[in-house]
Amino acid sequence: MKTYKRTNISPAAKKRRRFTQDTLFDLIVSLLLTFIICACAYPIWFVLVASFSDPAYVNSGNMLFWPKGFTLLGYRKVFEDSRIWIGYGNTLLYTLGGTALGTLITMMAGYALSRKELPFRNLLMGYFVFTMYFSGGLIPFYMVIKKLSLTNTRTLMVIISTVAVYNIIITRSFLESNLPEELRDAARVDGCGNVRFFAKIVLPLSRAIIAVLVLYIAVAYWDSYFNPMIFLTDRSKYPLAVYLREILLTAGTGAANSVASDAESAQRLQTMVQVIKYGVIVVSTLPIVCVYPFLQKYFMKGVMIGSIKG
Amino acid sequence: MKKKMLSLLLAAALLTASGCSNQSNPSPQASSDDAPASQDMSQPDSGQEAPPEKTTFKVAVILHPLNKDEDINNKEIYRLAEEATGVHIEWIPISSADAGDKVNIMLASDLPDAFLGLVGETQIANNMDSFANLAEGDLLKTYAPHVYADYETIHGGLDSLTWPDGSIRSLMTGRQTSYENDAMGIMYMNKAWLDKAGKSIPTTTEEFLDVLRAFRDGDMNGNGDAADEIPFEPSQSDWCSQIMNAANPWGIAGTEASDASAYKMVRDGKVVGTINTPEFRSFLEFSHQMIEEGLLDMESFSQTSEQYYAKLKGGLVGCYYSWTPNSDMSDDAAADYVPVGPIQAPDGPGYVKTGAQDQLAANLTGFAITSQCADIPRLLEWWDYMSSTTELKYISRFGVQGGAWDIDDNGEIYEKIPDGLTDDFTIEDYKYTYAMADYGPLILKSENANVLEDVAWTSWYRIQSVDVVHDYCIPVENQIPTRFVDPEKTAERTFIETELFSYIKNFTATSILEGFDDAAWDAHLEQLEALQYSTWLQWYQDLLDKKF
Repeated sequence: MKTYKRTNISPAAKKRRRFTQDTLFDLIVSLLLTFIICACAYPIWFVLVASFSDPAYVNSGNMLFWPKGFTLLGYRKVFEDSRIWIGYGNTLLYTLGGTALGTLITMMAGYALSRKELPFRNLLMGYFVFTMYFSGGLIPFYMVIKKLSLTNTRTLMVIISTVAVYNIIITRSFLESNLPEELRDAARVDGCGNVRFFAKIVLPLSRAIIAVLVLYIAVAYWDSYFNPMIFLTDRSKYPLAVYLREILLTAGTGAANSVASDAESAQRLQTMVQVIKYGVIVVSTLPIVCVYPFLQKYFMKGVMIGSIKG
Repeated sequence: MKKKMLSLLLAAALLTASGCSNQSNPSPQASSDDAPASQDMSQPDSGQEAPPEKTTFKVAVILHPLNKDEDINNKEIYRLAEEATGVHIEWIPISSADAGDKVNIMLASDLPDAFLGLVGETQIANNMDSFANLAEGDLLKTYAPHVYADYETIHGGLDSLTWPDGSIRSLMTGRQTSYENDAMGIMYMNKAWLDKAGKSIPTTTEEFLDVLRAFRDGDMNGNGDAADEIPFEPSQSDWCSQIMNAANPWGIAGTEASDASAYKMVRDGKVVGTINTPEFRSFLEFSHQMIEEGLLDMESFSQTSEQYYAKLKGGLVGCYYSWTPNSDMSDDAAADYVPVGPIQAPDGPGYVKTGAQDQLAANLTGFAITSQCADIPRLLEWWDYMSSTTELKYISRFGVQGGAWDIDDNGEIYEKIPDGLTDDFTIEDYKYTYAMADYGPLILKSENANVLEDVAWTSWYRIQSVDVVHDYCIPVENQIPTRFVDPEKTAERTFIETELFSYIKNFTATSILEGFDDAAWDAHLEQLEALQYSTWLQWYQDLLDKKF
């Protein structure tokens, strides 16, 4: 690169120009990022504010940034609804159980697949990856679950989403790049077996990827509505997401189904739903939103590894 | 040692799994353990007083969102039916939001003994063998004599349930007719605004425009803002307020509230098109004029249901379509609105109201017994018991006598407001919590309950509103009869409808919002032909002529 042409510019001017360029660049980037933050954060803020506002203002578009017609009616209705609490309890059970089990299984699978001495390692990996592209479909899946007598059981809800091949891949990549072979050799020399090595050395060194797994699996469990909807018939076992979906769809589906014969009940439903809709969304998403900040530093590291090496 | 342990564990796991699956397998059998015994029951009215043999069936039932008691067996009607017939039902409640996915899964792999309020015509058509044929061996006539007798009293009742192959796969629920429903959405106008403007209820389209202009120009709601009034507010997001209602003055109307229902009509035994007529063109031009003058809300075609109701509740609307205004706003605000009668367009064939007189309101696929049911006679007897008297039908519909219904001194049934209602537990919650509302056995037209002003005001007011326009709803002779058709024929029709309806809706909205000229109208007529509009009309003509 030919830079000698610039020698006629004084160092002070050069500094000033760089300063101006950098500042401008920073300014544009900052503005752009601020805009993106606003675009991402506003819907969340809107839901939060709408949950404290009179539905009439929300629906007429008169509420934009601050609560209008402040009311706690939505929350009162939500907290009075026993279904929400039953759903909360179930969701906690499924999320905690599923996340613990899922993280353990994924770590074990990822670790095993990261070991070069594992026989048929690539074949196994191919077998796993195959399922990412092709699956048996819903009906055969349902029939398998039914044959295993797992339909309508809490056990199924805990185990059903424990293993995701994507998670195994990022775990394997993390362990391959972060756990040197020498560490294993050193441990073996000291008489350390596979199980002990996994428990005492692999797990403590894998906090970043564990955080990512916990977050991925926990969020998947927390938000999961389809499997519970299909496999559960006993409503006392429903997780929160299914109730939330029911409430949100009630205005649309419920009304459309019943109007032909019963317009008044459709109207009653609509009013009920308008009042509690935003409250339910806040109540159901708050816990999982709260977990994010604590896991963020591990999360960034873990996700980057997964994306590069996966 | 380790290997031994592992193999032991594996063996234990296999044993457990096989043990579990053995428990689950006999579910169809378990639901009808007493099948042989119940066959003895299959001779109705044998005069035996011996208590009926207990048996259990699994029935998937719709769980209405307003139902506050999820244990369906707590409902009085099922307690009585179990006592009388010995049939215990193990309910599988499915919320209306989940019904689509869940029922399809059940149909494919996990059939219950019956579905109540969950399956539609298409699902039966596509899974015909999954449903028991009640016409076979006169099952229905033999084991459900009351139900059969009810259907015989309806003109074309049994025909409407019979599939082209002669089979009957489902039974009716709900009411045979519903006078309140006949008129669909009714136009209501703000009387307080009319008085303020010194106008009366319009009877012609010209007067209608005058009234709307007055609504637009004055500060009718008195909030100091003369520009926030919306004179006329149809809404595509609402079931009964769609734009084709506004074509009624030009003699264009459907039997149902949907726009698509008004794309064809029956006149003198012929199915005729409506959207290729000069009347439709006049309607579009009139509506565009309303848009240009700021009389018709431009957001009618795009707004959500929430936005629509916010406008109604906000006291901004002068004229709109509704079931009754009381279901859209506070009672005080609703009191200002009055129903609008016929409005005539010049040179038109005369006003016709969206809706159909004495239309069959029952759900033809309400209760469907599946082929999985091992003891169909017994389940039919259970359903027949609930149909055996008018009182039982009303216990099924509204709950215990003396609650939401009662019998007067003349022996006639009337609706009433039960005790214990609150703002959070209305009459609608009551009906779905203590009874099945429209998901019970068929109630004949002659059994319809009286609705009195002082005990069920809202229903009474709806009936008063329907009275205003009922004579203008489509008469029975101009209605296409309801009956099941060959799924292949239905597929032929729906194949055309997908593109055709989308085009018509789009053309209607664009023409009203942006206007159109002769060339655009000619192009529209050509496009209709290209999209097989006449083939679609012929399909209904063939249905009317019973060609399939």
